[in-house]
Amino acid sequence: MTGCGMRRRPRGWVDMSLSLSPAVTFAIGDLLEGRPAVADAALQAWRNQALGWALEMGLPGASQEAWRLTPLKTLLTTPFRPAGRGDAVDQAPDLAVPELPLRLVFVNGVFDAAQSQVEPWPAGVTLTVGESLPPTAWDYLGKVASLEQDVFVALNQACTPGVVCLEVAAGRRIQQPIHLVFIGQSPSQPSFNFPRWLVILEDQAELTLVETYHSTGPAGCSAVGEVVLGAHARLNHTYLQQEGPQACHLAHTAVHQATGSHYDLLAITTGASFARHTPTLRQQGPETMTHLSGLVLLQGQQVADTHSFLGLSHPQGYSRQLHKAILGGSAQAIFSGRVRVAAQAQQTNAGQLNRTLLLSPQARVDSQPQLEIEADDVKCTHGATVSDLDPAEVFYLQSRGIDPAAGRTLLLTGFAGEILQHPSFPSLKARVQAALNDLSRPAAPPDATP
Amino acid sequence: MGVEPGDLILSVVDLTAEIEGTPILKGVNLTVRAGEVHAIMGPNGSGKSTFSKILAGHPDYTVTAGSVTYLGEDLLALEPEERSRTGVFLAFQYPLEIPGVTNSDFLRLAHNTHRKAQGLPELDALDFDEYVHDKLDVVKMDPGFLDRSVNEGFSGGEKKRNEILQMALLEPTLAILDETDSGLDIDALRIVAGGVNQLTHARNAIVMITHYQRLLNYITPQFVHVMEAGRIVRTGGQDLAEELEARGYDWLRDEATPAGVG
Repeated sequence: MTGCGMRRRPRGWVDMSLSLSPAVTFAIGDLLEGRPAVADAALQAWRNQALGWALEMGLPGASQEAWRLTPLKTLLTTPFRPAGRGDAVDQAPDLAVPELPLRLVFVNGVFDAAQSQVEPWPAGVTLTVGESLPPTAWDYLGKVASLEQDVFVALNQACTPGVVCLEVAAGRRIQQPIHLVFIGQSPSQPSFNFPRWLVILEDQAELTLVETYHSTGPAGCSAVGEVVLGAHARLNHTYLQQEGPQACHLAHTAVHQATGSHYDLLAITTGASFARHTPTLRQQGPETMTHLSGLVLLQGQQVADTHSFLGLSHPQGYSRQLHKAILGGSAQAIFSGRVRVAAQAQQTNAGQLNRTLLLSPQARVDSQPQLEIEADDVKCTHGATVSDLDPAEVFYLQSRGIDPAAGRTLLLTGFAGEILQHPSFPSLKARVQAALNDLSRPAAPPDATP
Repeated sequence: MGVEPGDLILSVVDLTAEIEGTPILKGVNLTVRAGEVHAIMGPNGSGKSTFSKILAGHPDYTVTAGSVTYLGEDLLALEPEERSRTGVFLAFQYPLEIPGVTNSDFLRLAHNTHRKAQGLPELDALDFDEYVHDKLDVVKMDPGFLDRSVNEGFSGGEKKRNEILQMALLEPTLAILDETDSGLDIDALRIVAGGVNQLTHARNAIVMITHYQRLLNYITPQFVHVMEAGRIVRTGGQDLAEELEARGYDWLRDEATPAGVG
């Protein structure tokens, strides 16, 4: 356990960012210039507010604290263009989840009614998609995920082709989960898309929300989701990122929680060449609960960065964060988890743990748990561990007749078990298990690329 | 697997082995037949635990010469999992903890790989549950242990009971018990030894590795071997174990050195 950051890198590792200066081809100006038009005047005005911000903030770089640990090469050297509306995709059967019949599908950020399934729509939930937003949406849109926070939030605001908004009326406990499916399509040249969603739960409302990300080709995605939880509202949220191997994916999940509300996030990353997930959560009333569970499964040369912020600023707040990563090949994971307990947040109970399993000597993790406590009467713990798959454990299983591949799968499933036991959906679990099974295959020899 | 009482199960001839270039076994000879219980005793560092790990196929050790024949087959040519499936079982001195994997999932996977190897259909969770509950009684184990992570938070005695439970499920032809008595209080020792005795019959064989004679009060071997500096230097009956308990190992070392056994 350690209070400060811990880093592990393979022997002989050289900081390539110093020795190489690859041509940066990511052009914010081009993305802004080529952004798709929208008909709604209010939306257009809101998008325009972000233009200046996006240009002024410019590209992220190692000199900025929030990006210091993030290898940006793949993202910044891909010549992305704004995504078009996306061709109609054939119904890809593996994107639909049988347990999630209510499905809203977006191709390159644009709602695809033909692929979506909104019947029977549950009473108590108002869906706005592809039309003018309701007045309540304007109370929150861009205020939970502030464009000042990050250039990719600003870019999203400036470029999004539309906002999907879900409002759950006070006291309504919605049984049917709602599935947001985001598909990035980049058939010929690398193109960037900007999905945007807003979920508002009024007081004592309850909802289960699942968002999944998929893509083909060298697709770029900067998604922003905003969540507003009223008093004693409850949201069960699953984020599953399974973009294609060439994709660059960024997602912001911003949450405001009122008194006594309960927010549960299960965030799973298995896809994309470069990925960054930024959950930003603020407890805005006392006796509020936040659960964050993260699982990152990477192989090859994948990079995934998780930058979370949890702000507790009221008495008797409760939070638990467990973030796990399993890294094969020469994959790299970054975890930066900031928990801030303000002076008035007395009797806060906050826990954070980051655990990483490295399957190969080339895999690398940078872990930075950060606990900032200003209150004095609190119970806070945090820590980080990094370990290798223990050959003694594999031998123990072999000695019981279990072959090494099955043994490794069992051990990886065990490591991920605390996360996977969350009562999500069997089909989603099976997809994650498939990624785990991939990882447990014997390690390929390290890449010979210079 | 068609083993008859008195059949030759294991034949170890002039076995030498090393770890990272350091010789540990320096010419071990051992013959084990169906229906027999053997004890291998010896001081710490004599190589007896290494011997048990080599029989199970531990990857850290390299066999440099000699042969191990198990039921007429070259045991050393088999992967550890293949050895297990043909009936070799090692009860670990330090059973490993596997967090996040429930004992029942682990036991079922192990049991099913053995069933598959024998051409039997695999048991589903429900059928296995019934099957394993019958076996729990062998080591008087609380069913609650099935739902816990493998060996995680188990006491020393509970871990050893879990090893013997695995033996009960896998029904080995050759069971090697590595220091199964270490870390056990007298009650746990009785239960574990009682379990082993229930699982011993005329068509299998037990090789116990132990430092102390104590275990032999509960599991009676026909053969007691003494290992010293990587060789079996003396073989006798129960009386040899009692002599060792009374006199220690030093007198054997003094006798063995000039004799040049090998």
